[in-house]
Amino acid sequence: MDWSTIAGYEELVSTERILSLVQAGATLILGFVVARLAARGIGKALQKRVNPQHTMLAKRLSFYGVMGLVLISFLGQLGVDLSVLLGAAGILTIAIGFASQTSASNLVSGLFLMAEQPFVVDDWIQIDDVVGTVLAIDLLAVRIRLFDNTMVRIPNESIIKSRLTNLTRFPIRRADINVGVAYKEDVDRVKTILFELADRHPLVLDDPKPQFFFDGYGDSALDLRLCVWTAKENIVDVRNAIRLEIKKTFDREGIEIPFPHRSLYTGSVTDPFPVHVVGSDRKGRE
Amino acid sequence: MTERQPSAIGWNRSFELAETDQRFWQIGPFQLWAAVYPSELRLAYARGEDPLETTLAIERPGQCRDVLDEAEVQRFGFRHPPNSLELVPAVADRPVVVSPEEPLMLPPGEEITVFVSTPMWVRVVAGDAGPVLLDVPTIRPTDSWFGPSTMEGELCYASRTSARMNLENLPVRPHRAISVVRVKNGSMTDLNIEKMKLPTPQMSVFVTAKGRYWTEGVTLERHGENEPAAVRFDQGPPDEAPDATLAAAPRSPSQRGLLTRAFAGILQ
Repeated sequence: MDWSTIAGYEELVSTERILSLVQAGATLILGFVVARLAARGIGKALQKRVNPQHTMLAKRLSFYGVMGLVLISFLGQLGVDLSVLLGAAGILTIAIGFASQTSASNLVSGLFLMAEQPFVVDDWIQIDDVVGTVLAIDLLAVRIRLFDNTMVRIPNESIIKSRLTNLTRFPIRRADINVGVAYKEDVDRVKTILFELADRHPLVLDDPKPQFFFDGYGDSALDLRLCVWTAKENIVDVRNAIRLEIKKTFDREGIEIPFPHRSLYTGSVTDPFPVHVVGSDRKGRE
Repeated sequence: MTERQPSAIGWNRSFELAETDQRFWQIGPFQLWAAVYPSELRLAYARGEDPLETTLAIERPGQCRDVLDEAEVQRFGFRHPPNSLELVPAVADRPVVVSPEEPLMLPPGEEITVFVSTPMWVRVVAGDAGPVLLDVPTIRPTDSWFGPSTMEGELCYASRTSARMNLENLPVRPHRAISVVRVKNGSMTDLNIEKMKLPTPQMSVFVTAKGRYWTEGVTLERHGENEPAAVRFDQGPPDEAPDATLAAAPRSPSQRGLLTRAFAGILQ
């Protein structure tokens, strides 16, 4: 076959054309390298000044920005009429916009999250029933590590619309420990014991001071609450340790933590039914 | 900065330790054991129940009591275990919040001096200027918070002893260092002294010939009602112990000279 008869063949294989292809290719490769270097340089410059999420965002924006310019130059060198592309891009944008509404919403929500910073990486957060440590705040979603070492990915749009609790925003936290004691117990004595055991624990802050609340008269017990403050990293240990110490101390002091129970009466002015526990032996049955 | 000096009477000095030796120290409520084995050094420590214990005991090899079951044991591997250990006192690694015996009002322009004792840490150094093997408190102080609110402030320790106006009211304890604190009210309103934050990590430890431990004096001066207090550290031992020698440098000397919130307490 005589290739020279194909229309445009001479133009395609002309030296100028080959040179422009090589030039465009070199522009693309060089531009990619420059984009990577620019992103890395910006990342290093911002690393110590802003948080990791903003640094990552700046790196990506700079990379894609430079690559965008490189692509425009690449296409220009190939002789592509960009005005045609712009027209097609307009139509394409509308189509992509409809198709990617959710992703766009997540992206915008992600930018708002980065600006507002309701939490940062390593914070413990609660979103609905999900409680865990923030692993990463990406453009479309947040990744959370649950305490059983599983990972949950929550779209940014969901987070913006949900109620979020940051459990480690402030350096200290209060641990509320509910304890019920029998109605027969002396509440003042129980209060003193609770304060003493809080005072003995070195991780319980001396200031703000522990607080005692008498929450109410429960069905089976008096509802009491001991609130102690501790550094946020100690909250779990302190909560466990105080509960354990309450149990040990109450056992030692003879303070009853009652089970849920009901009292049965035959009438309004009669004594309660006596209850005897019958053994499993023949004599007991008789 | 002058070099620190070992104490002839206090516990902050070097102790020889041959292989298979075991030694014991009691510094107030703090008990420390050290034992050398081939390629290994073991340190164990425990704390008694009385934080105000005044015993100072240094037992020689061969006369040591047994390690308590509840003692915390740490093992260190060495190609050649050190043949001596140095015990060095250190100040607390966080500021300490102290309160006067009763709240006190200081009128504008007035100044008072109070004496505060804070628990010391014990550093165990291997050999001559070797690595620090242990840096533990003689008593574990209770954590506390010092700041204008629960959102903003600093994690500190709480002092179990009150700031005293009279030095004689402070007993000598081998595990505590005494600080002379001058409080000046340079503002136009009364200063209600309920709590003070002592910048302990920035203070040195001095020891007298009688084995009493001090820090340098510090002045806390309030200029405005909501302004941080100016903190100034004296150079050298306090006037109450002019012959005391330097036993340990501050943990954080570079933070000296900063303004700090020293008087505001927690807002409930």
